[in-house]
Amino acid sequence: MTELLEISDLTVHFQNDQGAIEAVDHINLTIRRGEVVGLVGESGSGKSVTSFAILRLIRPPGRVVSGSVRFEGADLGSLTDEEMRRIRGAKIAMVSQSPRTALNPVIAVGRQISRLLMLHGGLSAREAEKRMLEMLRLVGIPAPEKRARQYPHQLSGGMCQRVMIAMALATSPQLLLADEPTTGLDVSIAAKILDLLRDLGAKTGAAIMFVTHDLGVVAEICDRVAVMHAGQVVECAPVRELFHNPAHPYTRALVRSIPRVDRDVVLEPIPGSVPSLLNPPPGCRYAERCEWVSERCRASRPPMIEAAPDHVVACYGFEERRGAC
Amino acid sequence: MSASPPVSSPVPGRPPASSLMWRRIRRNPLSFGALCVIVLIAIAAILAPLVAPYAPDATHAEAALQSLSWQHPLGTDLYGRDQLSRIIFAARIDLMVAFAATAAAIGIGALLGAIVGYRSGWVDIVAMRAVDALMAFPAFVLAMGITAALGNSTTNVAIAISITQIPAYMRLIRGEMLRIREMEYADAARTVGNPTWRIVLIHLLPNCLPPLIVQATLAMGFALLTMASLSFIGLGIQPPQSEWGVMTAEGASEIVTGEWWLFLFPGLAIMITVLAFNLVGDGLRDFLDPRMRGVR
Repeated sequence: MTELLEISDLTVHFQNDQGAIEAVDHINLTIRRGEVVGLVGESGSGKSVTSFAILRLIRPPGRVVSGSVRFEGADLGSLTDEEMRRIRGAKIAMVSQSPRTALNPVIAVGRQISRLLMLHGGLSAREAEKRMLEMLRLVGIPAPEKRARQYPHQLSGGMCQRVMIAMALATSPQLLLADEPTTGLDVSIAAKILDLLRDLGAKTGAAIMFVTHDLGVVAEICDRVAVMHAGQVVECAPVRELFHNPAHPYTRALVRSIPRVDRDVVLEPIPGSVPSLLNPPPGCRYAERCEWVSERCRASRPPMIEAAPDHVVACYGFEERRGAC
Repeated sequence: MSASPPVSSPVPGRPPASSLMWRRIRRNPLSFGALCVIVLIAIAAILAPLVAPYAPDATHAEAALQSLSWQHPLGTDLYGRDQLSRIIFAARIDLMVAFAATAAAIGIGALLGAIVGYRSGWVDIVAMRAVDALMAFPAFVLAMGITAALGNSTTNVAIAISITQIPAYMRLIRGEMLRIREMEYADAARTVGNPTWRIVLIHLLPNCLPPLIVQATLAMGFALLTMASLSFIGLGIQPPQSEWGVMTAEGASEIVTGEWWLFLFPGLAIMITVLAFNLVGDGLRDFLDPRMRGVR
């Protein structure tokens, strides 16, 4: 597999009167062709900001301070606005977290898809209409001819999400940014949407960056997982490796906090909450919540080290303990 | 007795959505009546040559200054012109100018408002200060000034009226745009690579329109009043053109000699039409306000 997307050293700040909020801080992440990568973290850990930064859609007061995003070998930061616009929706598509509000309320859903196809695919109105119905059928919308003429408020939440997915995949993008696509859906609908995304991803060969806070979903769908905490990627590993040998104390805590039916374990909440990202201290941002914290952690930020092949982690505590055992 | 008209059973075969709409319209009999009045006036204006008993400019010297009669239901003026016919023909120009001015103001105001609202930054600041300056001027004085500067013609009156109205639309749509552009479907429109003009015009602007519809209806009444006022003071449309404001002005000079009908009826025509537009606007506001839905 080759690298499709390469995020290196990406930093995004949001400026306000009190200083800069470091929403995304020097993150590195690669996504290979056809791969499903999970981006996991609590609310406010910078997951969504990362997806918008990939599309170069961070708006003031937000600002990409440093770093680059390479897509198919080209630096997205150096493209003109027009070139970037041609990539959005065509090569990199996005499924947003609230399907109901992400669809335009005054345009029939079928039209929203066929317009997109005319915009990017250069299809005629008739071809676009045909492809649109095909896509609606593909995502499992019954009676697509009828549904296509309806407006978002006439469809259920799950139905809207299917429409969003149909729209995102209509142009056969190479990369799909799925930003919590199952939030707010019934569990049974959510499971169907996940299956659908995985199947369609496999069918079209699209890589998926799956942004979520739900580790259960990650286990279900992802090949690799990057764990984000307070704007930083703290650990990145293949999904099985991550669940069986979590290295970073934050990941370990996350894995321990998954409810289990088959074993009688007490759930352990993670103490504290995501620290303020406004002018954060120099050291590890997990230090205040960490069981392994030492002086070193507060003084400087731990570098990414290799814990196992294809498994990287940023933690001094892990580094020290690995030697011991 | 209740004020609402008797409720008849819905027309068989009517789809349920529109019958619901029909019911909601009839819930507000005053506005519905006003709408009927406007439709009636509009039809009379369009069919003026057919419904008016005389040609508007035909003079009958022998029948000058006649009071109300079967021949001339609203009397005749100094030149023996039939007043009813003149009022009907005047509706054409009055409604047309009010409509054209309002439509132009909406088109330009909405477009500018949408652009500055979406762009914000210094463009927005500069544009909004210009709007403030325009709105600080009393609308009628502004319209007077513009008409006087451009010269007396029907087109210039329409231009003057629409300039006085553009700021209000701009401000309205800008405010809506500030809200709408933060909606998720705006983000979604950006993430699929729409060019900015498509985002603003096709995706966002239509979502800003509901409050505009109400404003437009109310503005129709205001435009009509402004136009009649302008011609009353002798600006804009000039005699012998039959126009309600012109006719009211002409009639006013006869009032001392007792020909009250020449002043009263054109004035009533203005009043009824403006009132009807305002009532329809009020009704539309209730009709379109989601919070008012399901009441009663």
